[in-house]
This record gives sequence, structure tokens and C-alpha cells, in this order.
Amino acid sequence: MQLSSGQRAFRIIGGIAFALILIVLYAPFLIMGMLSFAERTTAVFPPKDLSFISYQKLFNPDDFSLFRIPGEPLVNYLGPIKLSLALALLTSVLATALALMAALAFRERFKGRGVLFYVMLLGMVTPGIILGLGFRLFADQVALPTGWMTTGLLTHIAWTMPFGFIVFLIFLNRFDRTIEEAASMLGANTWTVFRTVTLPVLAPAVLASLLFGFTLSFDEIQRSSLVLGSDQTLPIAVIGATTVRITPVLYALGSLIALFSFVLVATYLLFFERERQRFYGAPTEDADSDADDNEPTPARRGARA
Amino acid sequence: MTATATGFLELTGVSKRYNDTVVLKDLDISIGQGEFISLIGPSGSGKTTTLRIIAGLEMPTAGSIAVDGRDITALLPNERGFGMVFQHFALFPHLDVYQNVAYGLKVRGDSKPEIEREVLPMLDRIGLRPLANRKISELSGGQRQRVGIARALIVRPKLLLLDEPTGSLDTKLKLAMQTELKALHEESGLTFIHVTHNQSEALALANRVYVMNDGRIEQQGSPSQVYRYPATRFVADFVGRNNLIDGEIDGAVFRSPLGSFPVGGAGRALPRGACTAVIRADSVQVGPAPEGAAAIQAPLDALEYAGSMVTWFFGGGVMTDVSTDESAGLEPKIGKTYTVWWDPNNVHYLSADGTSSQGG
Repeated sequence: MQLSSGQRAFRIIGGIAFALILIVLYAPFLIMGMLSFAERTTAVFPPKDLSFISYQKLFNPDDFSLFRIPGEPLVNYLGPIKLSLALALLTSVLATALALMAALAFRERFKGRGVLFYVMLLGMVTPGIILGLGFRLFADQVALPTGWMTTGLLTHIAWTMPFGFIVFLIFLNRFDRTIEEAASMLGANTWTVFRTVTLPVLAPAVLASLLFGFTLSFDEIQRSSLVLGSDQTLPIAVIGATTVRITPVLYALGSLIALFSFVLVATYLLFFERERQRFYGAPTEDADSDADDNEPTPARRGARA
Repeated sequence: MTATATGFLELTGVSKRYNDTVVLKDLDISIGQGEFISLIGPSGSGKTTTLRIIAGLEMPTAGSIAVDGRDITALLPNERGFGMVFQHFALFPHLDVYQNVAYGLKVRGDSKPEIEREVLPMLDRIGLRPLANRKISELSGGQRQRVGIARALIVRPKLLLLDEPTGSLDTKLKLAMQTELKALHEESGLTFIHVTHNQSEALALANRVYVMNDGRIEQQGSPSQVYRYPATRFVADFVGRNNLIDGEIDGAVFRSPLGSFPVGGAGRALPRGACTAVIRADSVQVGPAPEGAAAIQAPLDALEYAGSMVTWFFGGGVMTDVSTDESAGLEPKIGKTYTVWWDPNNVHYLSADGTSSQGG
């Protein structure tokens, strides 16, 4: 391709800017990853004495023989990790189910639809600490015991559900309802239509909503800080630990979570691309060839018979 | 094909209102087993709503629907056993061609071998067996619509509803699909109810046509009846290409702003007084008028080319369709005055109150 000198300069500047952004985005992870192998202190960079001791401490918080630095806090992250995972999983599943039902209801015209739409999204824009306070006061009023399974779960669902709701609305916006009508004309009752047509076609949206729910719940702190009672989620445990003293154990934890997130996002992207191709054809094909009867691309797989 | 026995599907007094908007007004439709019915009309005439009410996808506000004498008004679409073909195909994007066609059988609970025994011959019938494992997104428009038809027919429906089945296809494919639909109808012996805004498709396919306008049935009858003897001004305007000339009948003379012409057709029943003459565009001729013809002198205003035909528009509001070859031979010049004539026996008269004469 022929480029003018102006275009070339623009490309170089753009490339540098992009590289800078990548560095700003990913350098913290690299530094944190390197520091997680420091044996004693995080004050020296790059770390001198490399070891896996911080990872051992993370997974064996009860083995006091590992904690040999004077004044080192004995923080147990395992309990909060389990609790946060459980809360995030429950939240994402329940919020996704509710969001799907709400979004399906919003396909119909009904009285108060416009107002209700904004009410649904209020949880997204209300400052988190206010929402947490409100939930706490509400729980006190109705004598609901605070804890992760009660007020914690409710707060997290209220927080994450609108995101799933928006995801489903976006997908439903280009969902052709005549395929549901076609299914019912072929003998499928309402439940069968939902199970065999609506839900499979919305599968990418379900996955997106689950991921939203999980990640939003997993790192949620403002709302959780007031409603969890004596239970500790991971973010709250981390905040608590940083107020005492930052040790390489925290970096080990951070590095593992970052690694897990990258794998999750990569998996999702791969899945999403596969789904996109399944519905709209491979990117090289003209998926919109409504009006030509030419033989399209040769079959990828052979005929069934 | 003259299946005229009615009574298989009966719509009685069917009305539909959305809030304050009346979409269908007290509709009566009676369809016989094995008929090919077309509902035609402009958009907003209520034809699609009528089809959806028959399908059970919409509930009528009033009236009833019966099949074989059994009231089905309250039945859900999945309880009616009708097939439907959609304008935009409405194929399942997450299933392949085979699974799309098999859907109805699977929902019914047929076993895998049973499904295969039905689906494979059906795919052969529509010529898509080699594409059985294709995704829908890999099919062309014509192939998609054939999958849509196969999917509807495989469950052996009591009748087949077709909602603008050629509406998403280009002209060439449209004609091929029409031929295919006609063959399918004759082969299957099923009752077809077909909605279209394309009057030539309706006239080509149906054995009986319902012309709808503004939520009412303007006229029903065989294609040739509707085409040759439109019952109302609306039908005359919508079906075919007609010149509508307002005037009045005075004895054996039709007087109009264009001139006075013999009414023709001795002995036929004619409306009295104010009426509209309906003259088909293809029955108007250019050139020296023979004895007894109705003729006017009119300047040529405009020409419109449409492939094999050229439409000549004359001052005074008369148009005529001339074949392209003939038109070229006549060397038309805009502004030049021509003699335009028609046979008075081919004129159909509508009285001002909407009733028509059955003559000719």
C-alpha cells in the first residue's frame, strides 16, 4: 500500500501513543507480578531475593512457620476468596435470570414502561455508598440479619442486575421475534419456544451478563462495606490488610487474580467470536446475500446423509 | 382448478382494534378445502392482520374462526396445526438446514430415525439435501425461503399460511418461487392462504382473491372476475392498470369531460346517472379509430418505459400500455396529438354509489 508522508507520520505517532497506553495499562501487572516473587520486602525494585514464599503463604495461611518477617501481619485470604467466589457466582446467576426476565418483559408495551425503565437503571447511577447505607437501614428496619447470604446477596443483585438488563436489551433489540412465532406455528408451546429458540439465540447475551455479574460482584467494595456484617469478602479483606502493612503476599494474590481475569477474557472472546460466526457467518462471507441465488460458499461440513 | 366449495375455514364477523385504531371491520371470509386464496391490498389494509388472526398470532377483538365447523378462536398458534411461511423467512439462526426442517417433528416428540425418514426426502424435494448441514447464514434468499416452506410443510399442516412469501426475493427469484408455490399447492392438495401486496402474484397464483382496503373486504372472486369486473373504484384502481373516467350514462351515451361515447354492449345491465368508466390500459389503442369505437384526440404528455411495455400518458388522464416494439414503430413525440380509441364493449361501468354492472 502506498502511503503519503503525512499518513506515515500519523501512523508512527498513533503507534507510539498506542504503545504508551499499553504500557500504562499493563506495567502495573508486570511490576506486581515481579514483586510477588520478592521474599521479604516490596520496597526494593527490582526485587533481589526471589522466591515462591509469598504464594506459599497465600495458600497456607495457618502455617505460621512461613511468616518469619518481624511484625508481618497474618492475613488469611482463603476464606474471603471462597466467600467472594460464592457470592459472585450466586449473584451472577440470580441477577442474570432476573435481568433476562425483565428484558423479555420490556419487549411488550405496558403501562408505566418508560418510568419503570429508569427505575430499573437507578441502581447503576446511585452512589454505591448511599445504596449500601440504604440497604443497611432497610435491613435493620425489617430485622433482616446482615451477612453475605442475606443483605450481601441482595445488594449485589441490585447492583449487577441493571448491567445484565442492558446487555439483554441490546441483544433483544436485534432479535427477530418472528422466529418465536415460527416455532409456535410448528407446535412449540411457550416454554418450548423459550427453551429451544429464545434462550439458545440469546446464549452470548447470557454469557455476557454472567460475566458482568461475576466481575462486578467480585470486586465490589462500597456497597458491601456496610451490609456484610461480620462476613469478609476479598476486596474488604484486601483493604483491611493494606491499612496494616503491604507484604508480597498481596502481590501474589493480585497476580493470580489478574492472570485468572486474562484467561477468562480470552476464553470469552474466543467463545464470542465462535458464536458470532455461527449466527452471522464467517467474516469473509457476505452474510447479507438475501437477494442472490448463486451457489454460496461450499459447505464446510459434508451433508448429513 | 376450481375448488369453490367453502366452509373449511370460516371467519365470521372478525374485528380487530388496537386501542382506538380499528384494523379489521366485521370481516367474513369463507374458504374451501384445497383452495389457493390470496388476500391482497395496500399496506395498512389489514391483510397481514387477517392472516395473523387465522394463525392465532393475534386475537380478534370480536368474531370467530372455525375450521371444519369447530371453533378455534381461543386456540393458541401451537394448538391449531397450521403451517406458516414468513416474508423474512424467520429461520432459526442457531440451527442448520436439517435442524430447521426437523424442528416441528422434534417438538412433536418424534424419534431420531422417524425425523430422518421425513426430513431427508423433504430436503430432496426442495433440492437442499447437499446443504443439510449448512448454517442459515450461508444460504441465499431463495434457498432460505425453500427451507421456510419445507419446515412448515413437514408437520403436514391443515393449511398453509404464506405472508408475502416472495417479498424478500428479487424479481427473477420471485417468479421462480411463484412457480414453485403453484406446483407445491397442486402436489400437496393443501389449502393455501397467501398475503401479498403484489396483485400480479395474486392473480397468477390464487383461484380466489380477496381484495382488502381499510380493514374491509372490497371484493372477492376469481382473479379474472376481480380483474375484469372490479366492484369498486378502489379495486379498479388497485387491481390491474385501469383508466378511471368519471361521467354519467344518459341512455346509450356515456358523457364525460373527455367527450361522449357510446356505452356499447347492447342489452347489458348498466348503472344509471353518475358513474365511472373503467377502461383497462391494455385495451386502449393509439392510431386510426375503427367504426363504432370511442375515440379522443389527446396530446402525449409522458412516456414510461417498463421493459416489454411502454406506457403512454395522454392529456385528460388517459394512459395506454403499448408493447415496446409497437411503441418504437409509432415514434412517439411528447406534445404531439394522437387519436386514442377503445372498444366501448370492453368498458366496465361503476355507479357512483359503488355498485358495478356485470357486463361485457
